[in-house]
Amino acid sequence: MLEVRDILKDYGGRVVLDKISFEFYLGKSYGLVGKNGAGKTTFLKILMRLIRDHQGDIFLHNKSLTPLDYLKIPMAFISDTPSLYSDLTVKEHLLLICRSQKIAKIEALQRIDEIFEALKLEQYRNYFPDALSKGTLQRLNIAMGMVRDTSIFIMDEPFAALDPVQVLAVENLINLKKQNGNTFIISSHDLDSLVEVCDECLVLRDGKTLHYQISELTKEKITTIIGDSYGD
Amino acid sequence: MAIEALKYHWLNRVRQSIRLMKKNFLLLFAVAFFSVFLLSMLEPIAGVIREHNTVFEKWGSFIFLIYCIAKIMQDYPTINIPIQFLSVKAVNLGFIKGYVFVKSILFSLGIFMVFMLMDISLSKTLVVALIINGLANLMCFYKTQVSSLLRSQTIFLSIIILIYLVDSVALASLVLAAMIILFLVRKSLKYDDIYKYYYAYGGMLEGIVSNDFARISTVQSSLSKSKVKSKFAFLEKFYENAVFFYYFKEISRMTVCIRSLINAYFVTFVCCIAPLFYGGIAWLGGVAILVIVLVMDNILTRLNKPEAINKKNGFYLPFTPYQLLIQKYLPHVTILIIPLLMSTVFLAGVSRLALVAIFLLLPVKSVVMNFSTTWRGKMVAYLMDGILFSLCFGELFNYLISSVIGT
Repeated sequence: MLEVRDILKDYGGRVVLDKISFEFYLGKSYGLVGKNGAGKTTFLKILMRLIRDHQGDIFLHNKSLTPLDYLKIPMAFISDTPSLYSDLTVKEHLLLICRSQKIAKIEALQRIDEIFEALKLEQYRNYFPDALSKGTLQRLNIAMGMVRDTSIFIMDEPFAALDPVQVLAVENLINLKKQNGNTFIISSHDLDSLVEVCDECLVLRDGKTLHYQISELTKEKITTIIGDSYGD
Repeated sequence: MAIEALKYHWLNRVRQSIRLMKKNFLLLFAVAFFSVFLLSMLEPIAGVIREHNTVFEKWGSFIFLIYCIAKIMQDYPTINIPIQFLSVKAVNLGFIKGYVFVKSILFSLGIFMVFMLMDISLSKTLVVALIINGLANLMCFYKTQVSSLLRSQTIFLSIIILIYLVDSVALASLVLAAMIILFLVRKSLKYDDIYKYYYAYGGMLEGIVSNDFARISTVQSSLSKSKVKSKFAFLEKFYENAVFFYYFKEISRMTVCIRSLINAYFVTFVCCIAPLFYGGIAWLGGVAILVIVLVMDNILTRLNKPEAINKKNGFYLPFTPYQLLIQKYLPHVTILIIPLLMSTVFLAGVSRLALVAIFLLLPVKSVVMNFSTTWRGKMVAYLMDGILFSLCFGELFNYLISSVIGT
């Protein structure tokens, strides 16, 4: 179980996360929605220990993650702003991650092939990032996170810039990984995709979280909840 | 695991360099020419240093001190870590610590090796300065790991200046060892600021390789401390009066880089004060004024460059470079008043007329350099650059020429 307790974070006095507590059960997937600036990315970065300047604690299997370094956190973070090597190919990026995780070569190549197939990236395996479209870069970003040897995946806007076919490919990959017991925490504005891949949903509003089963939510309901925080 | 990350990092670097060379073939010749020239000049330079060792010891350590103070005063960690190391978690914490440590002392170590190879004896003062340089690099990184930036900055600056004044290799080594231990025992790093910085820096590097100046400018702007709100309403207040309107437009924009401006004033102050300790060396004032001009030119470029790029990218700014010069000259001269006064009062060895000429010419050069799009405009800017540096470097240049002729 991944647990956050009393997370409080402010930016120059503006509280974005106001003593948030929640328990994420392993093997499930959670959507995170909220208006722009609601604190979704901040929340994900706090989980990953990329932001440490906050109050409250994070526990994984009842063990505090708070003193741990970001590089030791056993979770994969798929950021909305990927950092790629301009002169390494798509395949080389994935090889680097597999090698740094000490995955044996045969298994690494197998994993890479599987992920290429799932995300329809086969034809781009020897391309450099500069030659790729926004959508393909986003899929490479997702592939780089998914190829990792971990069971908890934190994703920030994974469906952004993807066309409907690519969205479906990503949804299928997430669902496949879910069947193998992996956990996902996904921040997104794409409510249709969240409905396809998530079990539960957290709505961030005015620094607080509202918890819903995904089956309870409709697009209209979420729009109303988020809309209320604009004071319209 | 770390070796793999380094391997792929260097593979990327090699390919990047090849790409850069292919794109800009002239650069290849320039690099080759400069390398051969530098190698052929090594022995004459070594001769001059050997002959005037005490002078080089004084100004070399002085320049190192100014450089270290400037590094500590800025907001950046100085030591760069490729963002990909962090984003793909291809390395562990121990590697990052080692990487920062090695990069911190690499420059000083390199200078030390060159001096050894060229058979030049290193004076105590210069050794202290080299240790201070490594120490300052570590301090710059460490500054991002503590919560009170101002307090740590003050403490680090005091330590560095104290070591410089005491001029003791033992003290400098002791403080460096303490700093290394303090850094290595950390169980985790704070990524709040450095992750953003390295991400932006990686983008800037890519912009340089691809000649994408708009990208470089965007990154440079994002590297400044985040701007949240502005309380200034000058533009609305002075809308009707063109002179005041454009004057306050520039003044409002200066608030964005106010921290850099304060740092620049501090560096100016140190540059003005330090030559007083070496009254016998007349040309040291020239070195000081050169540093001041470079720092202030950087501030003016930060004000002009983003606007010039916006204009190039289609932002509606219907002014000719001449009109822009009229609008910007007065506000830009205003920020140069403090350095002008300081250098006039303290830098006894530098001609007052030259100082006034430098500070009146600098804003013109910056506007022409950044906004001119024609080759004639650029030539004028380079000509002004030449005049500026001749004025700054006059006495030092004379000294070097006479030294070379003497040998």
